Amino acid sequence: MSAPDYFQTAGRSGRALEDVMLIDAHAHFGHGPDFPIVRPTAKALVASMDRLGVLLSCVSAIPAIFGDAEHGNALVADGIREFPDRIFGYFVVDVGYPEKVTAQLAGAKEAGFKGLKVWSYGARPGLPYNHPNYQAVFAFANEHAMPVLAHVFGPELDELEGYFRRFPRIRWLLAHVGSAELEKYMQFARQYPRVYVELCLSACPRGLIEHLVASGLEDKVIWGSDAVFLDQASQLGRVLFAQIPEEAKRKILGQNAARALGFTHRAE
Amino acid sequence: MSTLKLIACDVLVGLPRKPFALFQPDAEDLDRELARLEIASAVVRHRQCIENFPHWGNDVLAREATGRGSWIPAFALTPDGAPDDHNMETMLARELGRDMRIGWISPREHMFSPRPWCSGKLYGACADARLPLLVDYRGITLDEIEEVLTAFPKLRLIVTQVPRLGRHRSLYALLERHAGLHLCLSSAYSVHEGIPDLVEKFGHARFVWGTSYPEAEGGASVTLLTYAPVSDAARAAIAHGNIERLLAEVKP
Repeated sequence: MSAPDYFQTAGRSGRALEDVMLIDAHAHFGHGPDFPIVRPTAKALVASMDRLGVLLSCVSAIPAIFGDAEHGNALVADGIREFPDRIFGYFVVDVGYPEKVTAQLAGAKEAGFKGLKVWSYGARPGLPYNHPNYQAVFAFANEHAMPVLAHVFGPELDELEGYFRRFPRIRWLLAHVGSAELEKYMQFARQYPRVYVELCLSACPRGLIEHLVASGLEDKVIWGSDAVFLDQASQLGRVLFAQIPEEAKRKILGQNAARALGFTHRAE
Repeated sequence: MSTLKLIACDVLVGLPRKPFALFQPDAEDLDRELARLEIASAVVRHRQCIENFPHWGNDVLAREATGRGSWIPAFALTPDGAPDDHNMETMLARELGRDMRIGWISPREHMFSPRPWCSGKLYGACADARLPLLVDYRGITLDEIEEVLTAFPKLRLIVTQVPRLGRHRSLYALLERHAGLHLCLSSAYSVHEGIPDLVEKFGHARFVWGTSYPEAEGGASVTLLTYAPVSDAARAAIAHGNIERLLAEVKP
C-alpha cells in the first residue's frame, strides 16, 4: 500500500487544502421541497469552503430549480454580491413557461451569472430536455459561450446528446456521474470535447473515481459537492482519498473545472 | 495534531453472490481499507448473515474474526433464537459467550416483524444486557422505532445508514423522545452542517461513526467527521468514545 499523499493527509487531519485550485462546480443555496436544509446560506457555504480550502463554489438556487426562478435566482445574486470572489452563479429559468424565459435570461448576465443550471425529472418531474422550450435556453447559453450544468440521473443523457453538436459553444457539465448509465456518461465525455462529467452523489460509490481515471478521463472529471443539499466535506473526501495519482486529483479538484467553466482563478 | 482515532460501526464484510464490479469486500479487503484510512477498529457484520441463514453467517464471522484484533464482531440476532433449540435466551448467551458486545437485526431480510409483539423478548434481553443493537434505516420504519423505544426505553438502538435528508423531521422528533436512540453517521449522512446541528440540539453522546463499507468510498466518511465544525471533544466522542463506552457497558 502506498504512503498517504498530501490530499489524504489533509483530509485525515481535517486541514484546509493549500496551494490547490479547489473549485466546487455544483453547489446550491436555499431550501428544497422535501426537507429543511441546515443553514442553506451563502455565509454558511463560504464557512464550509474556508474549512476545506475551496476557492470558488458554483451555485444555483434550489427554490429556482423547483419553480420560482425569479426569487430563487435573487438568493444567488445576493451571494455573488456578498462574496464576489467566492461564488460563481448558475442562472435558472422557469422553462415550463416560455413567455417568461426571454425576460429572465435578459437579466442573467447583468446580475453577475456566468452559467446556466437545468434540472428535469427527479422526484418532481419537469420538462424533459428535448422539449422545445429548452431551445431558447440553450441558444442563449451558446450565444454567450456559457457553461451549462445539467442535472442527469441516467435517462436524460439521450435527450441532451443532440444539443452537444447543435450548440458547439456550450461547455456541458453532466451532473451525478455514477448514478446510472455510467458507460454512456463516459462515452459522451470521450466523444464530445466540451462534455465533462461531474461527481456529486450522496452514495459516494467506491471505486468510481479510480475507474474513471483508469479509463482515461482524468481531464474530463469535475468535482462538485451538491452542497448545501449535501455536505461539501464528505463529497471532497471521495477525491482526497481516491487511489489515483496526485496530479489527477489536482485536475479533478479544480483544473478541469477552470477550463470547463471558462474562467481563470488564482493560479496554483 | 494527533491523528483522530476512528472506529467504524457499520461495516458489512463478505462477498455477495453477485459480485460488485469494482471491488471485492472480503476480509483481506476490509483489513486493507482499515489500514488505508487509518481506522483503529470496526464493528463488523457479515454478509453471509443476509445472503445465507443468519446464524450460519454468525459462524462465518466468528471464524474470520479470529486473530483479527481490529474487528469487533456483531452477530445477527433473530427473535426466534438459533437452531436447534430455537430459544432466544440460549442464542444470546451463546453469542455473549463468543465475546459479542454488539448485535444487529435485519427484520426485512430475515422476515420478522421488528414490532414488540414479535421481537419484544429480544429487545428486553438486549436492554437487560445493555447490548447495543444495530439496525439499518432501510430495514425498519420510523414508526416502528417509535414503538420499540416506547416499549423498551433502556434499549440502546443504533440506526445505521442514516440518510442525507437535512434536518430530518421525523428523526429529530425521535431523538427528542428517546434517549436510547443512537445514530451511526457515515457518508450516507452527507448533510451540510448536519453533525454540528445534531450536536447542538442533542449533545454528542448518541452519535457514532461509520464508513458505509463496502459500497461507499470510506474517505467520504472520514472527511465528514474530520472537517465537521464541532469541538474536539464532540469529534472524539463520535469517532470512537461513544461506541467504546457502549461496548464497555455490556453486561456479559
